[in-house]
Order: sequence, then structure tokens, then C-alpha cells
Amino acid sequence: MRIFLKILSTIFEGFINNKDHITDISPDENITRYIFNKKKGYSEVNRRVKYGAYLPAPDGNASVYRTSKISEKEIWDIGHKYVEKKRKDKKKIKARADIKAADIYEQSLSIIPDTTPHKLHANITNWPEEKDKRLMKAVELANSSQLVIKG
Amino acid sequence: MTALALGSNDRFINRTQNTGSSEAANKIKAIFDGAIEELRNSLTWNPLYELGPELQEIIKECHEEDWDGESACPITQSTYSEAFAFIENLPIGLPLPELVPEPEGDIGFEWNRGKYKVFVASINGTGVITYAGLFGKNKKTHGEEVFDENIPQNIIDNIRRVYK
Repeated sequence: MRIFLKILSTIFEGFINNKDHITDISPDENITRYIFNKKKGYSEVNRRVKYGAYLPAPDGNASVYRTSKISEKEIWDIGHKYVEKKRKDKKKIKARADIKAADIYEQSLSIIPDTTPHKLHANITNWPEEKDKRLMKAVELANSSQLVIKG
Repeated sequence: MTALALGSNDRFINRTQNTGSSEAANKIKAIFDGAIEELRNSLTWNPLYELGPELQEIIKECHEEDWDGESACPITQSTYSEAFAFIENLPIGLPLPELVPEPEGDIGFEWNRGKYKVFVASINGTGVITYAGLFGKNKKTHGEEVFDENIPQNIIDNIRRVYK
């Protein structure tokens, strides 16, 4: 019985410890989208994020990372290890777009944690079917974002 | 004799023909060439001259599937041709857009003057322009227009709105 309770307690403890990765993402959280393509993602001259950075992939997701609780160095490290290295074309991260989760929710979009390939990974989902509405939301997200160019 | 001729298409005044040989003809040609150069430097004169090479670069970079590493669709020849026609038909004097390759294989044209002054028109080779504009905190517009030879007035008006 004691062994059974210990096993149960270990499982339950693990569940509690991982809680922040499976619960809803708070509106205060910082969300980061890594940018590889300058033409699609940002304007260096005007120091701004382009709407193209947020347009979802054909599967309907825009892949992002939750970056509130990690350092600047860790943000770039995650991009390097879990995004850059997964690419077949070996392209390097050029910049990132940082945005508050609240600005994403304001567009009636969802941020769903998807802990593969990393516990802080998530997807912006719930994009509308109509292209003009998707464009509008991507424009609004870019408008609310901060551009950080990789040094 | 003094003779100076312009090309028939006013969008593509990129050279003058000087059939005269007098000093006056050469002077006029020099003045005219200088004026064109000045105009080119001060206005959007020939959009294709500026954007053509960038468009070619985009088709070169994005003609294969997964060009963005996130399963993007390739940009097709018909989308390229339509983008070319869109640029060619931009009215003289409008500021030039930035070109944006999109993950579904479309090409976007973005006019951006900072926060809340943005207009985007996107084409995909099917004769439809999809657009979205942000002109203030709660001032936005989006929709679709047919693109056949001429850029619809609604699109032109929205571009101008960014610069008001």
C-alpha cells in the first residue's frame, strides 16, 4: 500500500511540476516568433516586423515560443537548438518578433501549448478561413510586435 | 534641326531619342534627361525599374515547396506574372510597396508608415486582390477586389490613405 501511494504521489508531483506547460497561456506572457526570411518577416531599415512573419503555415499554425521566464540568451539558444537546427535548408535565424499573448488573444486567436520539440513551444491557431481576415490579423499582430534583430 | 521624341508609353520614359544634331537639340536633350533623372529620384516613376529585380529575387528564392522551412507553398509563374502586372499598373506618384512572399505562395505588397498606418494587397495568380488595412486603433478594412488589367480604385484609395 505504501509503495502504491509513493508511486501515486510521484506521478501526481510530476503532474503538478509540469502544470505551467499544459495550462492556458496567460495574457501577460511574452511570445516569440523566430524569423528566418527577411523579405517575409521584417524590415531592417524601418526596424519593424512585417505581417508575413505571422501568417500561418499551410497547416493553419504559426509556431511560437513562450519566453517570459527565460533570459535573452536562452531565447536565442532555444531558437538555435530547436528551430534552426531542425531545418533542412540550414538557414539561420535573422531576427525575432516579440509580442504579448494578450495582443494575440485580442485578435480572437488561440495559443495552444505544443511541447514538441520543446516544453515552451506553442502554436498560434484558430485562424479564420477567409484570407482577408487572416491578413488583417497578421497585420495587427505585426503592428503590436517588437522586432529584435540577431546581433 | 531640333527634334526630341518621347516613348509612346508614359510609364516607361527611360530614354529620349535625339534625332537632331544642332547644339540646341543636344542642350534640350540634356535638360530633358536631367529632368527625368530628377523625377525618378523624387517620385515613384517606374515601379518596375525599382521592384522588378526584387520580384525576380523572390521567385528565385520561393519557387520550391517549403522555401520558408515551415512547409510554405511555392510561388508559381502565374502569381509572378500577376505581381508583375500589379507593379506595372501602379499609378505614377504612389510610394513603392515592400514585397512580401507569403506561406501560401501568394505575393503581398505592403505600404507601411509606422504603427496603425499599414495597407497590404496580396495576389495569388487568380485575378483576385485580397487586402487588409490598418489606419488607426480601431480603423481597419479588409476584403477582396477583382484584378483585371487595372488596379481597382478602392485599392489605390487605401494606399493613399496610408500617406494622408
